[in-house]
Amino acid sequence: MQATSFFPRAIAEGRIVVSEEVAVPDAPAAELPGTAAYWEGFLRHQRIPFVSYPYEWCFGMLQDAALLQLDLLAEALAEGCVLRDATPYNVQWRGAVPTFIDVGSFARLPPGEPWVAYRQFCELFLFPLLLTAYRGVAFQPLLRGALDGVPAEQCRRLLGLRDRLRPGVLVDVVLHSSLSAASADAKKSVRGELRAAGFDRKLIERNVARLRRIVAGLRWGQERSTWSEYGDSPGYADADREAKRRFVAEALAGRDWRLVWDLGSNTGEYAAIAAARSELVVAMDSDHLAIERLYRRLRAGGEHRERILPLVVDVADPPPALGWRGGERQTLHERGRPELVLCLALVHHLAITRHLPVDEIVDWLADTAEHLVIEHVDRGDEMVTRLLRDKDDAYDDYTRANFETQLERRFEVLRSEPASATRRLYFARRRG
Amino acid sequence: MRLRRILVATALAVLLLPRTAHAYLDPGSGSMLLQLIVGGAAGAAVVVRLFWRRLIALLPSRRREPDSAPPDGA
Repeated sequence: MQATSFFPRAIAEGRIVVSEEVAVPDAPAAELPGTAAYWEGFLRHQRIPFVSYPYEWCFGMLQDAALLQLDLLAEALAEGCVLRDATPYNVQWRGAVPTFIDVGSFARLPPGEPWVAYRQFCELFLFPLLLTAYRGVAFQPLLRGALDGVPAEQCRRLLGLRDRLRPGVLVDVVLHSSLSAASADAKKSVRGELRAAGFDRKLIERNVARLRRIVAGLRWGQERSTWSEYGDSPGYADADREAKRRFVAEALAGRDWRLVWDLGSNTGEYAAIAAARSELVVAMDSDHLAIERLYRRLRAGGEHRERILPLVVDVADPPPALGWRGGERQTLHERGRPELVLCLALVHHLAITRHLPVDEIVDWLADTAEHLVIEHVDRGDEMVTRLLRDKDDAYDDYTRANFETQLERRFEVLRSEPASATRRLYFARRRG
Repeated sequence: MRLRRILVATALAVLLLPRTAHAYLDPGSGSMLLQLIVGGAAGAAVVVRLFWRRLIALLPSRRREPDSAPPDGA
């Protein structure tokens, strides 16, 4: 790879994870069984601060990851190389900037070899994007439910007849599905035959260019969601909002933080405050559109572009361990507990909408991080009243008094201030 | 210190670029054929060659070895 020109250039641009070869004597040979004799070489990489998976990304993130994949493939092809696979799990993020991490995927392209990873590209990148762009179907549950992605046939069934005229559908979905079914019983090695028939690299290059045009042109057109307009009418007077921002800034001011989670991040306003003092803030929200907007703002040159990682995560239903022996994809905690959690205007949603007991919410927060900035919204508040509107009020444990009791059970409250007439903020440190 | 410096030690056979791309993925016969279809004229040329070769393979073989002289009268 060092011999090519695109590879070092892409590393310098940050599009491929920074990697350097390590001489065998320097490598931790003692930690790996049968080293040196068995492995071809060692690489040291720049660390990715927090691993994320495509079923946590928003539409724009999956789209940009696909474009990165295709662009690197095109550059590799121009120099006689290829990427052996095409999966979003090969892309990670430095904040909101994508970086390709599977250096091992690069290889020389033997003459006559077709693009082996084309089907994988469709199943893991293209079809999820098409389903969201054309049908408004969220791709995250599909990818979380199937590690290998969406098969062509399934995509075909989910798309409508009307969609057949749209870019990418007739060829990559419908034809793909038909040809796959038709050649399923192929006895010969089609790959070998293609090689003998003189499959040309230019065919791959044209296909890649065509797919790039299709992917780049996709748009997710959802205009509104319940929470994407939350930022516009937060139920705050300006002075109250200023007080809340100040409280969060002061809580974080004491030190530098390595990893912060902002739960229920919405517009990312408080993630931005945290990012000024942190290496990385993971901004999580269960609302796909809110995360999409946050991502687009960051991508467009927003401040802290490399320090805020937006993710679509429902903390009441977080991503589980997936794959073989539950070890291929990890839970959030397994990937790295934060030092501090922002839990602003979220507890009432968890307690009332999601029916979670307040003591368990506090236990989960204590299990997550040592430091906590949390906001309690009282029953008198307009937001809570709205949540309780059509429900039987069985939420006896959701009172200010009980909340504080539970909080004090696991945390020591370092500072507390009212944020408004009905809301109170707490900065706390876990006990024990 | 070691832990901090040695973040991920990844063994990569491909770094030394073997001659063939070991494809661990099943490319899917249909997917490979589709690449020809979207390939325009160039793809069509390959399709022709592909089926020509299949056709030839079906014919009763006239030679026992590829480089032997064709039989008289062929």
